[in-house]
Amino acid sequence: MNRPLVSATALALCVACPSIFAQTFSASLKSDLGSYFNSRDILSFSQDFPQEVEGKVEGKVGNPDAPDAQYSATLRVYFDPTTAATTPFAATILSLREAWLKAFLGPVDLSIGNQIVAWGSTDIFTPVDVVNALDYTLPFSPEKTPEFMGRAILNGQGFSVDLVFVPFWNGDILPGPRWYGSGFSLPPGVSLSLLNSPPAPSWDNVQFGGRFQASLDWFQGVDVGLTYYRGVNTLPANAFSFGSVNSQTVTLTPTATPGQFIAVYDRYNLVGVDGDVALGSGLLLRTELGYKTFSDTNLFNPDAGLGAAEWVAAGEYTFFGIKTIGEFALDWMKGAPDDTYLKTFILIVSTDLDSRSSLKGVGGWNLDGSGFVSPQFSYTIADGLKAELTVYFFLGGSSTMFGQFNENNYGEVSLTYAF
Amino acid sequence: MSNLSVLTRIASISLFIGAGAAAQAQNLTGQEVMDRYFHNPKPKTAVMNISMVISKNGKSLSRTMTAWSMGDNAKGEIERKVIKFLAPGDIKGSGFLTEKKLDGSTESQLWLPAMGKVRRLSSGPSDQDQAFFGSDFTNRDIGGFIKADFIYELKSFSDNLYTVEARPKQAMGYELLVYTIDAKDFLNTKIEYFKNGQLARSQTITYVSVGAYNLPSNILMTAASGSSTEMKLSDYKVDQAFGDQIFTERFLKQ
Repeated sequence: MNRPLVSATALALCVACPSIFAQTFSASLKSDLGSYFNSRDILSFSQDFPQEVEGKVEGKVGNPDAPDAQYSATLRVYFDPTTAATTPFAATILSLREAWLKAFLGPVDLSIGNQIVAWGSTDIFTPVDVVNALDYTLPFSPEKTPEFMGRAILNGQGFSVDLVFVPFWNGDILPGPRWYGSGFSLPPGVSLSLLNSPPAPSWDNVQFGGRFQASLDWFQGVDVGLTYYRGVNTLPANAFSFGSVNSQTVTLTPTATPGQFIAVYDRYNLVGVDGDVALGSGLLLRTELGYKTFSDTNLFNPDAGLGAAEWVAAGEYTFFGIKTIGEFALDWMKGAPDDTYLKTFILIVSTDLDSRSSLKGVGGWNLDGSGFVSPQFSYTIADGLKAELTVYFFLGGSSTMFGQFNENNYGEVSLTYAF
Repeated sequence: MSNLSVLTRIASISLFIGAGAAAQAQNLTGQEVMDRYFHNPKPKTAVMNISMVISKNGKSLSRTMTAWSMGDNAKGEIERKVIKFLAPGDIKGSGFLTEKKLDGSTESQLWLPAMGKVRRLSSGPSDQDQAFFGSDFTNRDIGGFIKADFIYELKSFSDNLYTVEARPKQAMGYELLVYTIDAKDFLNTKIEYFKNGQLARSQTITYVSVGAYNLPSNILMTAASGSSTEMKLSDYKVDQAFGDQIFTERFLKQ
């Protein structure tokens, strides 16, 4: 082979690479100290001190302002000292989080890989934001799990069409037994085991959907969205409830073995509509409606237990520097003979005390008289270094939606360094 | 004619012209002063790097950003700005898009990667007068003002500086802004913000010549509470051809 030619090519590549790849690396280190404490015996510590390290590589190909392609990969290492004391091999979990490649082809963005999708307009109750499974380890603060998918977004003038194709299914990570709620009890000495029956990888169980979103020049800006998604439930089909802010309920079918249950995951169709409007007065209004039918029941007249909807109305306004977000959710489930309804209201207030400190309060109320409150405080110690304190209190009688978890009050201090 | 007399005549003419200009300058109304200020030549597009230092009680936090701007209200165009954060790590990737429309209303959107959604901010004081990423600047300061935002009144002219009071036509976080405008080039060197009759913040600006334009190189915002934020703008690239695609959600997320 012509050596000078090879060398010249290699040199050209070396010279070209820095100009065609604009790559950055960022990372964060997070250390948590969290504890459950019950309301009667505050500080009965169940200590936990997990450590989390995340590294992220991302870059653009071509002109950074108008790239031809973009990529991102995030690796997370999680170490749980409590688990390490009993089962050291299970204490360290390495997981690939978001890891995707995206090509910009004219007005179309094509991406493939582990991705997180955020659909809808509202913040807390998000009935149309269904693409990613959730990790409910701390159910009041669920985290989306990146899903492997193909995604295409058409960016038009004032509108976008977002299509996703999710070939493989992942279920939600369920919370621990302490979150199974008062309605779910097992005989003494018997622990829960799930006989998981996940959807088989087949064309019938492929998940897909799309979202149309348009921005209109009405008032001080209006956004509207229409969503359709054919998915498979990420929680076991239709008996325990757990204390997430939107009170997820899971119904399990027992087997002959005590404590063993079959977890089945239904297919569903979701149709959703959402929107927001910014008014000149400073008020922001948001709404979101998701209607779901399960197990291929009739879309317009579902069988009992196979039709559900959630409607959310939200308002946001800043009073004297205190940002206030209120969200009301009305959940409906087709029943026999009576339909069931659940009404929940959540209020979030937050303010920046100064450039370093911010205070946030989250409160939720259910019409059964139960609720939760969560004061949160964060302080930026230095550039990229932040300390946060978060506490959750569950209030109400032991048979109420949130009150049943009043043994699960929780406090957490975390320190995060991002660079 | 001797050389001296020529010089004397030139000097006399210069003095006459200078005195005339000063007399003309002093006769301008507040509206006219601000008209000249807002009609200063602006680049069609600009890209710049910004470093921001927020200081209080001897401690500081920093942010670095890249900003893109386009449009000139004085020419009947919508003014658009996009800012992307490069550092520190906890806010890296965040972005802010704002459009100042011809009627003075503002459309702003915020991209916070951790949230995964672009959030619309309201046009009213409740959102526009909030601190911009913890700094002493507000979202409204970043979007900038247009001439139609205020009613102007000239308060004084001395040392070649105009002092113009600007009262907002629509509710904003301040009832009065006092501009100091240099009569030489009609650039504002200082803005004082009054709230409830008290000086709440003051901003001083220095400029750098970039091609045919005088553009801000340093903006210091000092709050009465004792904190201050210094913004240094550098590496200007002006009049580059970039289209509307910069001022979109798509670009904000990239």
